[in-house]
Amino acid sequence: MDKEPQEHTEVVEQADAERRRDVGEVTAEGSRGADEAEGSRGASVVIATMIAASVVILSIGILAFISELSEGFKSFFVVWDTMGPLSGHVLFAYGLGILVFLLLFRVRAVGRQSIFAWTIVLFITLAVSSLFWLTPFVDLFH
Amino acid sequence: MRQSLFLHGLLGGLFVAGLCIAIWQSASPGKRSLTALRVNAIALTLLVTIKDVLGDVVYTAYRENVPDSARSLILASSKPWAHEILMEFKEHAAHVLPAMLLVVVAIVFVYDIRDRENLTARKVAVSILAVSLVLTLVILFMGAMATSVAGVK
Repeated sequence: MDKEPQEHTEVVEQADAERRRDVGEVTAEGSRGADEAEGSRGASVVIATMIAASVVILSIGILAFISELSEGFKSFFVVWDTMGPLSGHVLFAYGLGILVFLLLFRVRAVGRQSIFAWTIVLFITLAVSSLFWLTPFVDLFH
Repeated sequence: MRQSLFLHGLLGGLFVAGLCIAIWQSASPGKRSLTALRVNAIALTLLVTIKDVLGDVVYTAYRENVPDSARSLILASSKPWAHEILMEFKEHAAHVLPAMLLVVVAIVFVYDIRDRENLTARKVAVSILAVSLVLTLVILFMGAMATSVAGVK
C-alpha cells in the first residue's frame, strides 16, 4: 500500500528532472557534467554561442588579412568612409556570427558537442586571428 | 573628441577591474548565489560593447586624412610602428571581446558552475575571462604606447 504514493512521487520527480534537462538546467541532481549534458537546449545554446564567437573572431582575422593584401578587397568593405574597412570587417563578422548562432542554437546535436573541444577551437581561432592582425606577419605575404 | 578618448580609456580600466572580479566569482563560486556573477557577465558585455563603439568614434578622428591627425603624425614620426603594428592590432583585437564575453554569459546562465559536475564549464568560463583580461591589457598597453607618440586631438 505504501508503494503507490512512492511510485507517484518517483514519476513526478522523473518528469521534473526531464523538464529541467529540457530547458537546460544542469544541476548536481541527475546531471552528468558539462561535457555530458547531452541534448539539452541550454547546452545547444552554449555550444552555438562558442561556434558563433569562433566564426566572428576568425572572420575579423581573415578579412583584415585579405584587406592588407588586396586594395580592391579593402575598399569593398568600407561601409563608413571615416572608419575605413574596419567598419565592414566588424559588421560582416558579427552578422555572420549571428546567422551561425541562429542556425545552430536549437539543434540538439549541437548540444552533444564537447564544451572543452570548442573552447580549444575558440582559442585557436583567436591565436590565428592575432597573427593576421600583426603587420610583420602579414608583410611576409606581400 | 578628447572626452570620448578619456571615456574610452576609463571604460577600459573599468572593464579590467570587472574582469578580475568575474574571474574570482567564477573560479571560486562557493555556495554564493550566481546572480552577482550573471549580472557582472552581462554588465561586462555591455561595457565592452560601449567601449568599442566609443573607440570607433575616436578611431575616426585618429585616422582622419589630414596632416595633423594622430595617424599622420605617428607615420611621420620616428616611430611609425606605433601605428603600423600597435594600432593595426588594437583596432581589430578589441572587437572580438564582445563575442568572447557573450560565451561567458551563455555559460553562467546555462550551467550551475557551483556544482562539481559542471567543473568543465566553470574552467571554461574562467579561462575565457582570463584570456579576455590578457588581451585587454595588451590592447590598453598598445593604446597607451600609440597615444604617447601622438594623441588624438
